[in-house]
Amino acid sequence: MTELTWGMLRQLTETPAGPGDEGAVRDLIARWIQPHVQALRIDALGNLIAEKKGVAAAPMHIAVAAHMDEVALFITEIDEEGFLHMASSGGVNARTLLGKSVQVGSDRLPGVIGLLPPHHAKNSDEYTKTPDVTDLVVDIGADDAKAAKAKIKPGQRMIFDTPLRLLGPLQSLNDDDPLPAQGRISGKAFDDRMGCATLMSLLLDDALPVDITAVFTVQEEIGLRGALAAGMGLQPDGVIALEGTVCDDLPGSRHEKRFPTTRLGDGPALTQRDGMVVVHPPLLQHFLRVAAAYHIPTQFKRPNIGGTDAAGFARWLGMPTGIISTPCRYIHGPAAVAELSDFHAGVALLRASLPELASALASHSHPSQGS
Amino acid sequence: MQDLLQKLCEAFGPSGREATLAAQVAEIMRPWCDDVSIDALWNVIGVKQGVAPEPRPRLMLMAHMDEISMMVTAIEGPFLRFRQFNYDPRLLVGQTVLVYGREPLIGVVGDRPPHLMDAAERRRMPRIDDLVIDTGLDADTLAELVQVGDSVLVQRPMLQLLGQRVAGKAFDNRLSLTAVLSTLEALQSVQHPGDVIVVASVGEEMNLLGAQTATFGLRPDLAVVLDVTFGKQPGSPATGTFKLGSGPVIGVGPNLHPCITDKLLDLCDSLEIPHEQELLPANSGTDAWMVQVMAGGVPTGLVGMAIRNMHSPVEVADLRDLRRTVRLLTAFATAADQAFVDDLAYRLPDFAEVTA
Repeated sequence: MTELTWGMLRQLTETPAGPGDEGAVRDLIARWIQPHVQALRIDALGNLIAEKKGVAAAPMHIAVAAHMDEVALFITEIDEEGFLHMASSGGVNARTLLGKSVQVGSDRLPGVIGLLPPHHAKNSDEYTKTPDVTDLVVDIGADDAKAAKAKIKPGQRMIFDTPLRLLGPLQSLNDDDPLPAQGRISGKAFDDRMGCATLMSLLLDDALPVDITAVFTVQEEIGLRGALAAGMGLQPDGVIALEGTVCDDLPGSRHEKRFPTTRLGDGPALTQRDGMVVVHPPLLQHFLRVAAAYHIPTQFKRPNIGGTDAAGFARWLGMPTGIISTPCRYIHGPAAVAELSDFHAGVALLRASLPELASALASHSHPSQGS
Repeated sequence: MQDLLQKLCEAFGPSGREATLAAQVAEIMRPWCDDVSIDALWNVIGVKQGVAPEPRPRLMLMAHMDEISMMVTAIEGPFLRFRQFNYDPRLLVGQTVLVYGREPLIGVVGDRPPHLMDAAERRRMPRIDDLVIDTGLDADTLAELVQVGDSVLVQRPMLQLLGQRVAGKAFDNRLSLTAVLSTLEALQSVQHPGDVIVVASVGEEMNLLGAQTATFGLRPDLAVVLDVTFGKQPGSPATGTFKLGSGPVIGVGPNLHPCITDKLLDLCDSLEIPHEQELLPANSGTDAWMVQVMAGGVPTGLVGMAIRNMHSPVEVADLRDLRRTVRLLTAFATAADQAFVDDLAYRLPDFAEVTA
């Protein structure tokens, strides 16, 4: 079994992939998984699809999906002074943009999002109002429009410039080091590179129990677009979506005393129902049985929040779905935080669930088969 | 010069806690000075003697080295509450920070996920009390490593932007400090008549504390203060802001001695250094405001460099301004001889002429 290394997770999270511009991450994943899968192709939308043979053939066609894209900024205009104007592509949290650095375009040029000095604030309202993304500019140091246009084109994407780090005391890991078993990590694009990393962990395992089709999807953040295409294209009998999901276990948070969406360190989050799908009940029971048998900690995600590629896959044909997520604080911002033990437990749960996965999916027959 | 700026801007030096930075700055000054000392408040004072016979004129070049910062105000389980000094709190959401506890700790300024906010909440920026720092440590370890009052800075390596532009934290005022130190270096190969006394001052961002005490102690004959000023950027006022790369910005107004201002402007003209003038009707908002009135009064000049996004972790500067400022300061130090200092004195009118 090939272990995921620190360097692989580092490159996976740091590489830019705005919606519709997933090529760099796709190439990275394809190179890593190619020696470990039996077939590898890219569909018309850019989804990366890998057929992985297991020790046993699965009695049904199981797709496991994670999305490659991340929330990004989209360059709409280069003005006369050489500043880049932008719109949000996916749900960038505009509250987090001020005073941050970004990487611009495929050359990953550094740029910064500034703010007028407090000395020039016109009134106290300015301090309380979230700016519109369209009111902000990115400064790449260009003297004028000509200098900027020599390097940048409208339509290119900008992503947060955040290296993967371990939080807490300063320590540095080598790229060849295995991913630590536990520890808090911070970085960008954990939604959904944590899911991609989970799926990669399965594919690198040359003793996977059963066959799976791995789908690294595109354009999840702007409406599950890749999954919508792949669901019809692949017509799997069931789909498991792997996600990085909301974690709001902060003090003073509105929901804290009642029911945070997820808590960091309590294990992978199992969805019962999100804003778009109800997870196939026998599959959920299966995950819980496996977790208990292998002593893998899990938690439920608070119902009715968000939506994932599971809904995209199931949209046209209908199919049983399951969702396993790594909780991520500060998701959609420049620096999310995740717990590595949650990630590893998610991989362990998914892998241990595979042998009986087909029977769990089949215990409720496929809606399109008329039952 | 860019390497020096990078080293200085990435260093730790909140107002009142400049000790480590003072030692670093003293180390940088030492090869270029005849004497370097650190005073009781951690002002770093380097003296490079001039070539004129004693008593030589004493020119003080001052740039403050302290930076804006944050401070831990409470430890709440595994999270830290904090306050900011002179930062716009809106800049802090989502920043990666360094908490200077028993050892430096990497943390993130946390915010609630946008998915769970209603429309009204999304439109409202969090107040500082809504934010926490997440170091990833459990409550016990955190309490062992951090105490209330510990300093917090944004973790911000300097960035090389296009052309001559750079971005980073604490360009206010390490950009000026870089100019002053580089001037010392340039003066190694130039003869200057008077003593040049370089001061990296403390506490400017609080109450100009270092400018007050250092000037009082040194009693220089004249001084030039360096500080950053406002760069033009979208939404900035039409006046009092300066295009990056337009050269040093010479302060003009009652906070500054007219002869020093004129000399700086003349030198720019004769050396063909592009420059601007900042018109300051009263308080310049810099160490110069304090220096001018210390120790019976000190004729003072002010040289600025424009930066964008002042008091943010992504201040943007233009290295051309830095290099030109060093040329100007070097020329000024060379020109500041006894005759120039004598001319700074205000004179009574010629009474004989009046009565006649």
